[in-house]
Amino acid sequence: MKTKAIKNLAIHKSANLLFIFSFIFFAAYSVLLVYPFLWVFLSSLKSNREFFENMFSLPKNWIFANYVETVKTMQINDNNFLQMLRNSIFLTVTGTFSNLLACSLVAYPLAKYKFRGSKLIYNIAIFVQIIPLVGSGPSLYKLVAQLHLLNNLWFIWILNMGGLGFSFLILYACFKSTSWTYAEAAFMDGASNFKVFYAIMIPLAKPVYVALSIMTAITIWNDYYSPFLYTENYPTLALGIFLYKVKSVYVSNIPVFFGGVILTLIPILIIFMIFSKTIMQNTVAGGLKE
Amino acid sequence: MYSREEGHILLKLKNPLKTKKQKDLAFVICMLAIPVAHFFVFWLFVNLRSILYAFQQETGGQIVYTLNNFKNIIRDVSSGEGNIISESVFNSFKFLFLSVFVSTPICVFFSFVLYKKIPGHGVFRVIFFLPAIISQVILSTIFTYFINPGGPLNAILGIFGIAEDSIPQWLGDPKYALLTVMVFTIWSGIGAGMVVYSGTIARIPGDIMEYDKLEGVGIFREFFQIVIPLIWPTLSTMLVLTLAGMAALGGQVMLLTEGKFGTYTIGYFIFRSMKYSSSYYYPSALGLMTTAILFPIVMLVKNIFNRFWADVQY
Repeated sequence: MKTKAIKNLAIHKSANLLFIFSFIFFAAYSVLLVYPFLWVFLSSLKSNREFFENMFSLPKNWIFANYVETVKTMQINDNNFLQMLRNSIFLTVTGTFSNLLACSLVAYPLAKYKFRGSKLIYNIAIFVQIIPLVGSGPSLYKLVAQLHLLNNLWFIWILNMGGLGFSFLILYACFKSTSWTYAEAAFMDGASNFKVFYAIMIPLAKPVYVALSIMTAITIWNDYYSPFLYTENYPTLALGIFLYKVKSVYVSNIPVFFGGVILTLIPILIIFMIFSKTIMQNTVAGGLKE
Repeated sequence: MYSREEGHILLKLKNPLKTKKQKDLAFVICMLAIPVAHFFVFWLFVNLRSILYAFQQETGGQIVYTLNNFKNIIRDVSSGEGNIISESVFNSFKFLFLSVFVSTPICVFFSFVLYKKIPGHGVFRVIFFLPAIISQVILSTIFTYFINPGGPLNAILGIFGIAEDSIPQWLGDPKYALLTVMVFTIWSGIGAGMVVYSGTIARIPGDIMEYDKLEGVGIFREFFQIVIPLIWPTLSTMLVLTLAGMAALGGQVMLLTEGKFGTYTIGYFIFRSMKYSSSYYYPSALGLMTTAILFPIVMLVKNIFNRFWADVQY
């Protein structure tokens, strides 16, 4: 591996200058990315006074108790930290499940069955992604309000039941490329369409489902937009931090606030460390070809 | 017990969905029922009503159909500076240019370097990718506190001899706010882009890349004449999606400045009116106008891109 890298470098002389320049750029950018996080983490361990007096130094005492303080005192819209955590977990689990379910319900028939309108639905799926339909926000918000579904956590389940989107495209491609022979054998044995679907095809697609679940879960966990609009009474951690930051009257103790930020960050980092390869591979732009 | 004919009839009554084709159709309908209903309600109805709203105004509790919304928008946009709408439109364009002419070239070029396995590329990839999975809220919070007056950035600038009071307020300064939001967009955005494109380049079949090593092709030529054409399907799709998403940009603005100091965008304006204003006619009209203008442009760009380089298949 290493000799090949050196060989690559040696072949193109013009490359050397480029590589040096790029390396400097990469290193600088890495520092710019990592240092602020490091600073926030270290600051979260300081006392409030020490934070203001001495911004750069390592904390004199590593006050991990600040984190306990965060869990105890952080409060948005009558939701304390643990409640926000609960909301985040609830939304993430139900949202991921309903999204993947809906996308499967659409992707599978489209991929495996011929019927009138299948082409239309597929084209709509692509159309919806590419067409810049702006301004439907107010209309959507009003609809939700009219249905009295605001501030209803279960609504997020409904919101995520749209079967068209990134997950749909991935599942469609996946099902399309799965061999039909197992299914045919099962049909001969008298299995119904549903049985083939959940007993054969879904298990065959398990790696894809795992990858998609991780991606979707991360997106929902990080999402502040939907909770902000639709479930403000049940803020998630992401929304909580946003509101905390915006209404700066809350933030009297910055290190404790930073503690909240770090705590929200940790689950994502853990997931990333475990699944980094999966995540990075699956975010590759697929290259839609029509 | 039963005659043959009766037996057949009974069988038909017991098993109404006999043929595979009928069973298949029933299955498909069951599967698609809920998502299709969802689509009808939350996409079709919502968008149709939004279009209707664009033509409505409310006077004294009565709904009136009018073109006034559009007239007002045109009036607002062309009235130049000092106006939220014209500011929004111009800023949206600025962000679009930023993404297409700054972010994307940086991403693509440096992803090529990553692909070439520059020393340390493994570590760099992981670090660069992190902002993509970390919540925008966290990123913007850390960014804001870092560059705030009294924060580390200004202290660092102080070390270089720049006086404390000559440092602008960044997000609080009308001259610098938009620029700062753009810096944030690049800071948090190019990392993932670099990893994504380097994955795309990596999927180019090895023999093509081996060929150019044998021929002794210079590295810039390799990049411009080989790599770019080969990743064009992905690259052009991403560019089209960026163009299409231009009017939806609003997240960073909301997180960093809440629109103050000249940072409004179309996306942010519409978002704000969703939550904070009871009048949805004007924003719906703005949205419709934006779509009407943007849609043909997107289609045109798509067609141009598709004809530019022959569709690459491998």
